Amino acid sequence: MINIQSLKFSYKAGRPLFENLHLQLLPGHIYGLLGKNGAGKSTLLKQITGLLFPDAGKVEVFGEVAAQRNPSFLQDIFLVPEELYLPKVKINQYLATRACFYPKFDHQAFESYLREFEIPLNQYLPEMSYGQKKKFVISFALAANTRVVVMDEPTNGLDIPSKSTFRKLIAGSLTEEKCIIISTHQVRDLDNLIDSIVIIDNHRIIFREAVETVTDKLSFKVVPQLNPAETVLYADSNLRGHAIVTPNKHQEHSKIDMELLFNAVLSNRQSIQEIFN
Amino acid sequence: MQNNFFSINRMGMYLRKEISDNYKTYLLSIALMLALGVGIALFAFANLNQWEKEIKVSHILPVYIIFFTLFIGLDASRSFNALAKTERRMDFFLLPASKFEKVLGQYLITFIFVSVIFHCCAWVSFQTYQSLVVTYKQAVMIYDWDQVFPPKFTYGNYLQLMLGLHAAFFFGATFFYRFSFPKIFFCFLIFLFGIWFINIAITNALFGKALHDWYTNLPYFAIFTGNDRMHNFAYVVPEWLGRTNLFIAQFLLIPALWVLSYFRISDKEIQ
Repeated sequence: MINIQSLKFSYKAGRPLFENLHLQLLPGHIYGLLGKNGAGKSTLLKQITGLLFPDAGKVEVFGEVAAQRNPSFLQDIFLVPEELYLPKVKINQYLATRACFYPKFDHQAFESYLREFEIPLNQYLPEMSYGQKKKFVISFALAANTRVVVMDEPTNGLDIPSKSTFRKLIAGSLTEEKCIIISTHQVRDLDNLIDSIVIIDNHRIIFREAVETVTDKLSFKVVPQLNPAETVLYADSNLRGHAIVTPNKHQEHSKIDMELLFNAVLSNRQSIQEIFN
Repeated sequence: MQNNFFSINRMGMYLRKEISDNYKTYLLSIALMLALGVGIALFAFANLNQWEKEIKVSHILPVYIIFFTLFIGLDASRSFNALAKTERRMDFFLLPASKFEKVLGQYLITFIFVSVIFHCCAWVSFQTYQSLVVTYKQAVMIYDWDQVFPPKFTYGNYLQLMLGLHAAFFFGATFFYRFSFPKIFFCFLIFLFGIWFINIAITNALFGKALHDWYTNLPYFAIFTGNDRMHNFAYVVPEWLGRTNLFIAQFLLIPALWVLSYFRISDKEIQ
């Protein structure tokens, strides 16, 4: 569905952000795009949505060149940016003038999403808080029924109940032909939602695995004391003991800890690569 | 197969969205135009000499020309002010309409829509003034249009000039999104003076002291030589070249600016 080949991109000459980046994303998945500040997560999302053009290589989404920003492409992709723009109109007016651009827009679903987020249908958009605006745009994005939904820090500004509603709605809206990409630093908000992880660092994709594969090959646990005999890929000490990532040699079942995985991949890249290759 | 360049249905949806998003600004602009027009009409009526019984339209037309020129320039310079903020830029580029529809939409709003509204306001203002002077001063209107628009420079030529001005400011609006009017105006002046200075350099190199004065030239049209009244001489371009220049200015320059504006918007990225 999303095919990025040999992508090269830099904001300034001589300081490349992406060099020979390859990435294929498939429908039917929720991808979590993780990376340090400045790693290029938002830039990659902009490349996918056609807001930035590659210096070299190609970015194609369902066979269309993203940079051409054709209507046939734009009506099947929706970006929920971190900073939102909403015109000074009411929700129903916004709906009347924007929904028509998305042929598969589901009005009933939109209303039910708004109800879930407890946003009244006749609300005036500029009077909404940042969190409410975010919930409104997320509802619109999901109701638009586009094949690709791209979200940049979608849980920023959401209160605790809304985060769980968000997870519920995203999980419920995923279909076989839909691909959802979520870029975030709030990995704990999405622990149970993301089914594939993409980590970007040092100009390229350094990790791309399904959550299932990760839990098959790695074990996440909290131990009271570190055992020197055990291979620990990454350890994080806290009040409860030590949260560790180890190779899953005994086929133990554990729940993925994205934060731990992310730190393990960044700090122990070589060992992680050996385990997954 | 979907037409990714132009669809009349999508164009309509885009215009509807634009008008719905900005209707308050548009209503405010219309109110401002109307208030300004009626205000000028009332001011002119209040200052009318009581002995003046014949009001010539040619005395009113300069006000119309000045304000129409101003509004065309102002609105054209605001064509792409949605691109000033990153969030709005994203909204503009990610809306599922083609680049052509977006550029054409802005063109229709800032030229056609503004022209129609301006003329409606101007007509209301003129009717107000006419009613007042006819009713209360027993004056008559003299429709001497030809004083302002003689056969060699018709109203059609003036509209063409406005089309050119709009195209220049429309193109400038693809560079500047904030305080665009003064910026474009300044750049436009620099561009015109630049052409004149280049011409000055060339004419001084070719004619030297034979020029009437170092600056006496009209780019693409004439050079004036001779230092005294007896030997003054103007080198004017031959008629065929003058007509070619005029043709380029009238029919090639304006579409060229439209095309450049389109490609500048198409090539915009969001950093």
